[in-house]
This record gives sequence, structure tokens and C-alpha cells, in this order.
Amino acid sequence: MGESLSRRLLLGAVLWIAAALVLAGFGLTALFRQHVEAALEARLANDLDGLAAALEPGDGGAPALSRNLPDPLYERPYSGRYWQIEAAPAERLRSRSLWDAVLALPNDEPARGELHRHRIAGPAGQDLIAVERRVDLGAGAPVRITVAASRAELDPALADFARMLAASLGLLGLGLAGAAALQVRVGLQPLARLRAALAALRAGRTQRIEGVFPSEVAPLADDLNALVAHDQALVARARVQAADLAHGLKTPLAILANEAEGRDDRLAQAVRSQAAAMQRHVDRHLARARAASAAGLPGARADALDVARGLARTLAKLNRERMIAVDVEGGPAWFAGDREDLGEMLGNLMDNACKWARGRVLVRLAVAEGRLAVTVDDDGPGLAPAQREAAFARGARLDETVAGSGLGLAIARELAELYGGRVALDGAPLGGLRAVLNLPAAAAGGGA
Amino acid sequence: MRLLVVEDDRALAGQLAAALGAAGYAVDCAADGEEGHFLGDTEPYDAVVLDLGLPRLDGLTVLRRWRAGGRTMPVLILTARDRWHDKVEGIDAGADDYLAKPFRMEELLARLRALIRRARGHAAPELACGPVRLDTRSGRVSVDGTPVALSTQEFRVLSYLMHRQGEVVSRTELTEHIYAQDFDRDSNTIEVFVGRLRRKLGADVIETVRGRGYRLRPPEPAAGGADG
Repeated sequence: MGESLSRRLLLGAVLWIAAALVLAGFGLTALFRQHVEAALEARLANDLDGLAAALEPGDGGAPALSRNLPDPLYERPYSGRYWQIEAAPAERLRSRSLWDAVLALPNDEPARGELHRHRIAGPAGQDLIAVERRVDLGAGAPVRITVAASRAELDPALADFARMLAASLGLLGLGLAGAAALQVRVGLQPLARLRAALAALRAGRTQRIEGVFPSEVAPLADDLNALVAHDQALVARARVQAADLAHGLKTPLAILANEAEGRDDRLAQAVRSQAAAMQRHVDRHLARARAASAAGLPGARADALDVARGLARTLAKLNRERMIAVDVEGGPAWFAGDREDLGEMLGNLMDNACKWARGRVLVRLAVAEGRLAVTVDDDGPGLAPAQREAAFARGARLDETVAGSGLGLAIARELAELYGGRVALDGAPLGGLRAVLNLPAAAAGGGA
Repeated sequence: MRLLVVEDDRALAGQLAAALGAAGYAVDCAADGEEGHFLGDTEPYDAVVLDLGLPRLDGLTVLRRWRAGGRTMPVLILTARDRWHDKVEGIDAGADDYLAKPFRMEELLARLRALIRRARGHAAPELACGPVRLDTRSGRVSVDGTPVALSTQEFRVLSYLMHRQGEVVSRTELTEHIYAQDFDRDSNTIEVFVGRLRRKLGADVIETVRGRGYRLRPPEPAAGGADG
């Protein structure tokens, strides 16, 4: 798997939400600071106007205040609120709060009536906002009136604002992240459905990808279906070719073998043995070629019970001279693979059982933990444990008196292994041999 | 006994006709499905050897049509299609036996004998009627244990009557079952064969039922299909 698409989308969403919120936080804080500073400056300008109104030319031309500002903060030493009136470099009036300090104003010359703002250092290391105006008192030089306030005055309001802002932005962030997660989930749902449809196809419940998908995913589903159909067509064609090859080879083989029959010269012997060898090769490789093309094909599914019953019917009829009862027990069972291949595996095992049985063959189907297990028991002579493995050997016939090519068990095992299954031999409760065919099962139900 | 072989491969059809003829059967051959179906539908065969991959009409379809039309003669499918899937399909379509190519001629003969015998209700491979015994496996006939040599036509007449023993068999029916289709038939020759059989086996073995035909009648007490 590696990277998850939804994790990627979610991570991206969270990142841009966080970045946007942090940026918004900084912007809003800066705006708010600007706003409160402007409000403070407006108050200071107001106080400055009060001072200017109360200023009178005093004795000897030095200005004097007719009344003090009403705000007591201008009286308390180092309170943060200060004013200063400067007529000449040595003639200053100062608020009581300044105590013995002097506001160090930059040397500029604002035009008359113009309001200047400054950031200056105040007493006790305070950071001050100051507003300054030149006022003409009529006689002598204009006076510089300055009113200042400590920026620390704004700190509680700024901190409050920052706290509230952080809380609300955090909540907003959580909400947005949740919404993003929901969107990713809803947005990717067609992919989840596609995955489920693919799983159904692989498990053999459906033959193609079923369902309606949005326009972004639909081409993918269509392509997958086309691919599956192409595979199925390829397999079908391979089967037809295999069947054609079988027909094409087997009739000449039959003719050759028949011509050699009843003669005993060297040519006849060679024809007989070579025809038999060719037949074995054809049987074996056709079976393998067909199964190899079908094993692993998605969507394949076969009704094992139906296949077993068909074989039981057929074998009972083919062996009716010997009156063999072939019974099938078990409920519905599905094989995750090709029906004809299942027929080949089970047919060979059941045929072998019928050859050796005295009167009864019992086939039992069971499904457990995704595996289909078919046991084929007979009441014949059975095989000693030491002989069982040898029975699978290529072309092995442990008893030459019973007809057959001897390939049945070997073909059944090879096919089973192509499907990731196996065939094992054991003793049967009926007294003879038990063959156990273990294969991948397909889920029951759904379209057949 | 008269057989139909439906096989499109000329060489194999020739081999089959030769081997079956040598075994004492009258044999008709059809090289495609339509001809095979027509013959099987209109002629009274005792058994059919049917290939599946046929031109014009598939073997399985031929078989299904016969069975749907009430034709009950035993049918042995002889085919290159040897998958179990094909065998199940063939048997379900109404075949009585299934033999995959390549095959041994001996096995085909054995299976045909068994099919014909069973179709006539005989369980054992050796048919008996009083002192007369006919071994379907070897084609040997004996009276009281003494081998009797019979010509092909005599054997066919006796074999058919043995399979139908106890029943009246008309001259026409006998003719239909001992001659192949393209043979110039003459029902009068049947009388000649019956006469020779009576000389070789004993006069009272084959009974003439006036106006109806012949009957092979076991002497009392009846000894049905006893085996040796």
C-alpha cells in the first residue's frame, strides 16, 4: 500500500488550515493593536487640547497652566501618563507624574497646529506613545505641548484579545479539520466502493465490477471490466484452441493405435508405445495449459455441489455394470475457480475411487475458513500408507489390471496446486482409500 | 445386431466399420451429424457409436434430438473431448457410455456388447437358451458344450434371436437388424439362414410362429440368462 490517499488529503487540509489560521491570528492581532493605539492617541490628543486650553502666558512671558488635567494619573509619579510643555529649551512645565524626568523629544519642527506622533523612551524604562503639537500663545515663541502614555497600558487589552482570538481560532481550526476529514471520506467513498466491488470480483461473487461510479472513477471501473472481459475471452480462446488441439491429435492417435493393434512386429510395437506416450503428453499438458490460464482469473466461481452431483450421476451410469453407488453429501459449497477444472480434479479422484470400490463411493463437501474440502471415500482395498505417495507419481499404476492411464491422481494434484490447493490420501472409514481435495472456496450467494 | 457409427474422420470410420464387421455386426456409417441423426431416427439400430465433434450438427445435439424423439437405442459416445465436464454433459444428454480417444478397439467392442446385452435385459455376457450358448465376448456358439461354426449372417440371426428370446421376431425386423443399410435386402434369405441354424443347433430351437415370424424358445423349465 504505502501512502494512503485519505491521509495525504487530510494532512494537506490540516496544514493549510493551520497556516491560514496562524496568518489570520497575526493579522487580526496587528489590526487590533493598531486600533487600540489609535484610540489611545485620540485620548492623548484630547488631553493635549485640554492642556492647550488651560495654558496662559504667565509672568515674564513664561506660560502657566490655569488648571490641571482632571485625570489623576498625570499626578501619580511614573504612572505612565505624562505631559510636558516646553517654551524655551530651559523653560518647561511638566506633569507631576514625570517627577524629575524630562520627556526626550526628537528635534523636529511640526507646522503649527499639526499633530505629531512619537515613540519615545520614558522614565523607568517605559515605552511611550507621545503626541505633540506646537501652540502659539500670541507672545514669544510657540510652545511644544506633549502628552504621552505608556504602551504597557494597552497590554491587558491586547492579552485579552489574544487569548480570545486563540481560543476562537483553535475552535475554528478543529471545526475545519473535522469538515475536511468528512469531505475526504465522502469524496473518497467511490474509491472505497470500487475496492469493495473489486474484492467481490476477486472472491468470485460477481463476474465484473458492479455499480455506478462518478465520472472520475468510472473510466477506471470500465477499464478494469474491459481487462477482466479481455482475460476471460483470452481464457475462452485458449480453451477452444486446447480442445481443437486435443481433437486434432487424438483422432490420428486412435487411428495409429488401432492400426498397430493385433500385430506384433517391431513397427507395431513402436507405434503402440509411442502413441501411448504421445497420449500421455497431450493429456497432461492440455490439462495444465487450460488450468494455468484459468487459475487466478478473477470472478471465477463454481458450484461444487452441482459438479459433484453431475459426476456422481455420470460415474454411477458408467459403472452400472459393477453396481457402484456414488453418494454426495454436504450443503452448498463454492469453489473459487473454473467449473471445468473442478470437474477435472474431482472427476479424476471420484473415477479412481469407482475403479477400486467394491460397491460404494462417498463424496463429502465441507467449507471452513475460506477453504473447500472434498473427501472422496471408497470401500475398496485401499492403499498402505507407504504406497500412497507413490500413487501420485507420473503415470503410476499400482495395479495394472484396472483400466486407466494412471494419470488421474497426478493430474488432480497438479491442478489443485495451480489453484493453491492440495490432494492428500488417507484411509477411509469405509475401508478403502480416502482422497482429500483442498481448494480455495468462494463466498456463497450473489450472482452466479 | 446392427450398429450405426457416426464419425467424420474417414480413416477412423473405416477402422471402426472393419473391426465391428469382423465382430459380427452389420454396420452403417454416417460422416456428419445430420446424416447420423436421420439414420438413427429412421433405422432400428441396436447400438450407436457417436462422435461429438461432427460437421453440420453437433453430436450432443444429435443425441438430444434422438432422446427427445423417443429413440432409446444405447448410445456410446466416442470422442476426443475427454474432460469430465464433457462426460457429464454427454451422459446427461442421454448417452449410455463414454469412451475417450485414443481408445483400444477391444475396449470399444466390450462396451458395445455390454450395452446391447443390457438394453435387452441380459445381465451376463453369455446368453443361453436350452442347450445353445452364445458367448457375446468371443462370439462363440456351442450346443451342449460342443462348439458350432456359424457364418456371419447365421451368427447375426442367432445373436438377435438370443437377445430377444421368448419374443416373436418378424422377418422384416430380422432383416433390418442383420443387414447394413446399403445392402440389397431379401427377406426370403432369412428363411435360408433359419433353416441352416436349425440344422446346426437342433430343429426345435427356433420356432416358427405362423404369419408373424420366429421365436427362440427355451425348453421347459425356462433357463433365462444363466451364466457359465
